[in-house]
Amino acid sequence: MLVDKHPFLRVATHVCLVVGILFLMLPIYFAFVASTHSLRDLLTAPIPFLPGKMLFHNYYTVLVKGAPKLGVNPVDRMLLNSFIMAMFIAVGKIVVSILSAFAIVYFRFPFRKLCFWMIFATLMLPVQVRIVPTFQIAASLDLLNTYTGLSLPLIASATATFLFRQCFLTLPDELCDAARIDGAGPMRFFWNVVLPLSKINIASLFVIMFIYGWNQYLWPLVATTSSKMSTIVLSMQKLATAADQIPQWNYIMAIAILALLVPLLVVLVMQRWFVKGLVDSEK
Amino acid sequence: MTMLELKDIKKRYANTEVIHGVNLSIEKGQFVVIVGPSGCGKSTMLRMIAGLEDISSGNITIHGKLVNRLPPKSRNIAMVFQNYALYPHMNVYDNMAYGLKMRKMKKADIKVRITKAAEVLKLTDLLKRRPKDLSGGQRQRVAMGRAMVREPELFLFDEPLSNLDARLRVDMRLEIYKLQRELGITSIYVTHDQVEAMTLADVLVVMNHGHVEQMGTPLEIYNKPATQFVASFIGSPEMNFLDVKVCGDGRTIKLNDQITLPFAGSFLDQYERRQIVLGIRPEALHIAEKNDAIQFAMRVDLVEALGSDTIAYGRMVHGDARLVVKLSGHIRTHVGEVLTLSLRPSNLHFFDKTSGKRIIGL
Repeated sequence: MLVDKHPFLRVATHVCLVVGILFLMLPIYFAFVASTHSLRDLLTAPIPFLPGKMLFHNYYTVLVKGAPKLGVNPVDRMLLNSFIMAMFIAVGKIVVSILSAFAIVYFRFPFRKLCFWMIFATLMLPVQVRIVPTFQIAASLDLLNTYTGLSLPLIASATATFLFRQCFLTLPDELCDAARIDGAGPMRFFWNVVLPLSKINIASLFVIMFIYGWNQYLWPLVATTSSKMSTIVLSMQKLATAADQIPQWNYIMAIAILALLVPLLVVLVMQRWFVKGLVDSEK
Repeated sequence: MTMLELKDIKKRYANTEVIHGVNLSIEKGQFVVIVGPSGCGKSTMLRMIAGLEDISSGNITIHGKLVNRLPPKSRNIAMVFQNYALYPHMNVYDNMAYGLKMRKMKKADIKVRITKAAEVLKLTDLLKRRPKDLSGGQRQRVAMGRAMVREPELFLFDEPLSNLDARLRVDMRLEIYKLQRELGITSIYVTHDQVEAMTLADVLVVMNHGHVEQMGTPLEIYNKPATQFVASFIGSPEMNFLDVKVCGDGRTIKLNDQITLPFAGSFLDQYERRQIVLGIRPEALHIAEKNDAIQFAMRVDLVEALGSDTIAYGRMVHGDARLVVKLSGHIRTHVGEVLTLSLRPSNLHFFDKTSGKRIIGL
């Protein structure tokens, strides 16, 4: 770590940080400001720079009441949908990838290398590339408009598998030997030794994958038709591109802020784990 | 009673054979130390005995029962690893208890065993701590405790002391020795440290390149090394080797044109007029006294004064062969000095120049 003894350096680092934060926070601040005004205020120059008085009204409208005439449905259901989808994706990714990494690192089986490279190859096939066949499969399995359909195609993850593989490779081989001599079978070893030692990685990966799932746009757009299964990201888009009317920027921004809050909460909650894991490092 | 027997054990990785047919038989209660340079296959041997590594051919029997195909947990063994291999997320108690839990032992019995082992190993106050809060020596003791509570028939130690600092190593060496004697559990100990090997072993096994070079008590091996490799590996500083020529019906060897060593017997007659290797331990050389029959001069290149000993490195004045001499600590010497040395013929070793095997004789 660099030691910043020089007072100028100290000031400079802080200036850099503050500028950076302002730069990143400004759009969010404007989104928040926009969500607290009426549409009329937003459309008349100058654009308001300070929060208005419509905060409660706007949020109440998008969350509970809705505004049927303007095409605004309450988004509580969509928040829930997004949450369930993101949860499924994050948990599913972790379960699948930790098990496949475990297999690749700790077992010698025929075509092990091939399996590894096949997982690697999926990096080159994100949803956007395979969207048509994936849709076909989801449709023929009757998975459209279901949570399974929303999350399952996004669960396989080469990145997470690599991450766990790297993490397992840092565990000393003797740990596995010791467990074998102690009489633990492979799954016991996984459950009692590998899993507890990967807690930190699981926590960090969960945060990343939850946000990844939450931000999904293209696949939910394709895989859902009913508004009941719509996600929060989709509802924003629908409102912004609704035909024959001025976009309801105040409501859209309120939804955007709501859509931000859940991942933020997840980060905040998991961060405590995260820091605990770093401080209480066991490796 | 034979406890463990290895018969013609071989190990191949793909196409390279790393262990070339090892035979070994170990009696109950013995402390066997396998010593050798790194890469000689000693750790692989231990892992094969543990069942962590498959054997390519041969048989391993424990108490007459073939265990080739048995998994480690069914062999009734316990192992102590070089890096301790403690479970980082478990406290000392759980680390020791894990193997017993896996064997479905009752909680109360586990507690009894751990309490007992913790007392012996002075770990009682540390039972709630995690490995990261322990010193190296304490971790080593936990690893020992984990092996002890299992009450196995066979202890396997894989260079258990090489991660400790020198002083702690000596302490732990003594502790392991005492503990093994008290428990009377048959043990196999792998190390590359010859001091550990010499001090701990009932039976010492010297390995090199996947072969057993020699097996015997530490003193047998020191006094009668079977091969040139064993002679160079055991003993510090390393034994001096000189190429010499046999003449006079095998009664005399010629170090060079100037120096000849006469012997009473003619045991070297089959080597008449051939080159052999003469081995002289540095501690077998001494400063010549007036009436010593054999005398030769060495010019000192380097001196290591250790207090208890003075080790002088140099070259023979006639013939230029390198020599190391271990002299008593009160003898002072300096670079460039010419020492007149002597030796007793009974302290010499002879090796065949091509096979490296000891020549039976003296």
